Amino acid sequence: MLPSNLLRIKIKGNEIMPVFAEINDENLYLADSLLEIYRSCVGKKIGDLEEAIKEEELKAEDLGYDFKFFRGLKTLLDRRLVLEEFDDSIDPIRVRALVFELANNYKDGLVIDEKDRASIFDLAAQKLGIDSERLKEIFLSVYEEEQKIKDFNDLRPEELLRFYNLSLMQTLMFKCRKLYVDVQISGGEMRRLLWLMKKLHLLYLAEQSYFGINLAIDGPASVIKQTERYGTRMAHLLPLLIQTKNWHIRAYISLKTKFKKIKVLRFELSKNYSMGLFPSSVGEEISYDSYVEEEFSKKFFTASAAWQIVREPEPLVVGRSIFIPDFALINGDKKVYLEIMGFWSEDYIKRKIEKLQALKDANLILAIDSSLGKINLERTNGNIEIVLYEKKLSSADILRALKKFESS
Amino acid sequence: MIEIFYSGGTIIVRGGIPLTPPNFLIYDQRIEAYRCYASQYYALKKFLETNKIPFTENVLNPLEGNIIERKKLELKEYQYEALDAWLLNEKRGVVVLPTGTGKTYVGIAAIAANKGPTLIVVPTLELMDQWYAKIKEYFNVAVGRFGGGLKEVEYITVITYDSAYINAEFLGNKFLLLIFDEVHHLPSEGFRQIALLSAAPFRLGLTATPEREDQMHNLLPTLVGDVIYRRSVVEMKGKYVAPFEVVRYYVDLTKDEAKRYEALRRKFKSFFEETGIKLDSLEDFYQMIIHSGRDKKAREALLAWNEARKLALNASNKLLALERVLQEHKGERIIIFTEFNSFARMISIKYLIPEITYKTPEKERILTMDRFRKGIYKVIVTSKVLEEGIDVPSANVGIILSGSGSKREFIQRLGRILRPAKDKNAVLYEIVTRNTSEVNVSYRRRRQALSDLFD
Repeated sequence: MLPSNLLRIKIKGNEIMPVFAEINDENLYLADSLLEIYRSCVGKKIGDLEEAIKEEELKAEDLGYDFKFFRGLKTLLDRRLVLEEFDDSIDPIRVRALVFELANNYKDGLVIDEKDRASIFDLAAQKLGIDSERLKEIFLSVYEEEQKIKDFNDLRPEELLRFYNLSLMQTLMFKCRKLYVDVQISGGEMRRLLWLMKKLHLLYLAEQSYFGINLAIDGPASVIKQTERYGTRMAHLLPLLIQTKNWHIRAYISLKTKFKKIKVLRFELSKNYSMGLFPSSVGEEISYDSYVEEEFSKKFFTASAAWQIVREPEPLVVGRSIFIPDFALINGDKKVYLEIMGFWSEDYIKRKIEKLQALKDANLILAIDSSLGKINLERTNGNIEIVLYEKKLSSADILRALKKFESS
Repeated sequence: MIEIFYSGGTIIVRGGIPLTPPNFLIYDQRIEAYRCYASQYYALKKFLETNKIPFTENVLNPLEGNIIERKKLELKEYQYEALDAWLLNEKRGVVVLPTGTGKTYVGIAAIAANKGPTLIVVPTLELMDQWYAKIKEYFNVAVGRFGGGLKEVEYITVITYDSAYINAEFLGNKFLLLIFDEVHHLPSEGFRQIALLSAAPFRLGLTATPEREDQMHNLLPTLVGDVIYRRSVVEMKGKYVAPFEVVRYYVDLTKDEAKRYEALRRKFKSFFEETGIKLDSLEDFYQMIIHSGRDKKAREALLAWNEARKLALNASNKLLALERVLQEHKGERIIIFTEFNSFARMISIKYLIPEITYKTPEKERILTMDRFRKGIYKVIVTSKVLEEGIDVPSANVGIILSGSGSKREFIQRLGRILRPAKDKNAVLYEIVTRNTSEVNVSYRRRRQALSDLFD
């Protein structure tokens, strides 16, 4: 993500689009020259880097590059710097306090020329028992430009441009009021997406759609009044979304016009129209499988010849929310979902079953660990089969339940 | 039975409502229940109670703790009046007092009277530190600071507007009293959510200048409450505030500077002539900045304008004038204001005067303020960071080396030296470059401030 003032956009009618950096020779040239500067500044001071960058920016502007593009790349590269840590044997703030105090009491309280300054530095150095050159260095060391660059996390120029594009799109999202995403998404990815939305206090409504699932995303207070409040949080969803098998996003972005009126514009993009623009991988995948599920998956695989087991199958839409079953069991054109409920309360199970009744087209086995307590369940629809087990779920129990679906 | 509970800065109403729900309740399809801003908590309760609809609630989850007074709070007459007005108005409302008349003490008194968990929202880290110190001085209580890297949530928490905005959901049901210092910031599009997403029933706003140019102060009554007490600078002058004078010094650009200034001026003037854009108002200026994103010429003109402005603001002869003023007021408490950080930095290094800018490390900032208060440092230089309400008890000389010409800024900078000090006339110096557009800025600034003082 970039500071909002580095956002570059094109507006056409009611449509808004970030000005993405194409991966072409022209842009690669700029990325390359910037990377070269950052590499060459390892071991130097931030001030030296800034100096070199300033020069490069003037050159780049003469060549016709947009300064916002230039500074966007710079922002991303700055984050890849590793700075040297302070030598903390002498606290620079203490040194400065001493210098300021001495200056405050100097002659008639006014330090004016070089001579005055030198004598203050000498006096302070003497008091601290260090060299005055060293003291001057410490005095200045609190300023950012005096910090030393220890290392730089290098990357290839085309990757820099791709990260820039993702950051730019995220920056556009800061002002997003409502986000619609249509995705073809695996159960694992959806689980992560839902978890992320929960963590970010975002809410959604789900629907079956062309690609798979359409989500309308905003925040709790959006229903009272649309707000940009959740825009930055929505931006956090993008790295995950652009890695799904197929995606289309539509975002409503509010923009202040020159008369301080707010206009809402539409931003749309899909995977097909952005091939090669974004990084191919953004972060590590996290697995959320529980131990019970993993054990079962292994055992079932060996126990059944006819039925195949798939972990974290595609998510299902139940009502207007999402349900990701633990497994899909597949036998030819028959598909039965399996959900294992290792931990539960009676209320929780009842509510879950009530919700799942809406799942008319899909068959589902609900495996409930009955060692956790007694439950009285009312009859369920024909497409939901309940299997009670104690502590360990056996493959045989599930195969028996599957028989009922085989015959139907 | 109906259940109402707090969720992410809103209140969810679960269960059927037998009547037409009030306007502020919105049906939320995503959760199949009604929802409203947390700030509607009392309105919602009133609706349910008057219609005899039974409900259970889980909205407020106030922090636990207690407040013990440590030091007797001595209030001035007008501070008592302000406190009474607030108590009579069901502990809601805005108090307007000129800078330097101890608004903070009205806040302290409100905390002492209310005795509940309190969130104090402030615009700057300086004010955060200052409130924190004052709370510690007057109460034995757990106090936290939230902002500038700190994330302490305590029975009394002092937080910046930025942090309060970002964490509104998390904070919204933990406090019973909200105090907004410099409350004129609150109505802006984002910050108002701090008030809307909170269920705290009691609210106090403090400011010297509630009015906003964009008229959004009209939202204050819903967010905090009406203005319940107001005193102007004129009413207070001489009585509680030291008399002050304004002295203006003109300096000339050096020959080289003047040459450069003319060249830059020609550059942006020709841009205006070519494009037909006039620079009469802020609106035009805004237009130009928009242009500059795409149009290279506009950007060059803008850069030239900026550099010319910097040249005038930072003219080297200003330093000579500064030295003269510093000599003249030797031993007095002086604050130097600059527009740009770089100029403050330059002065700090040249005269070895401690600087406070937004880049100053927190530790040094606290130390510098403390030493200035104690008189170990007599002079400090600062860029915009001190703009608001910072407690500098005995500064009696202010030097404005450059300024952006905004009305509030000027009053507040003035306010810094309006602090009552014994037998000392407060003086505000303005050092302005002759024959540059800066003179107009300064004139405008003065006229606005004066009309504000005497209307």
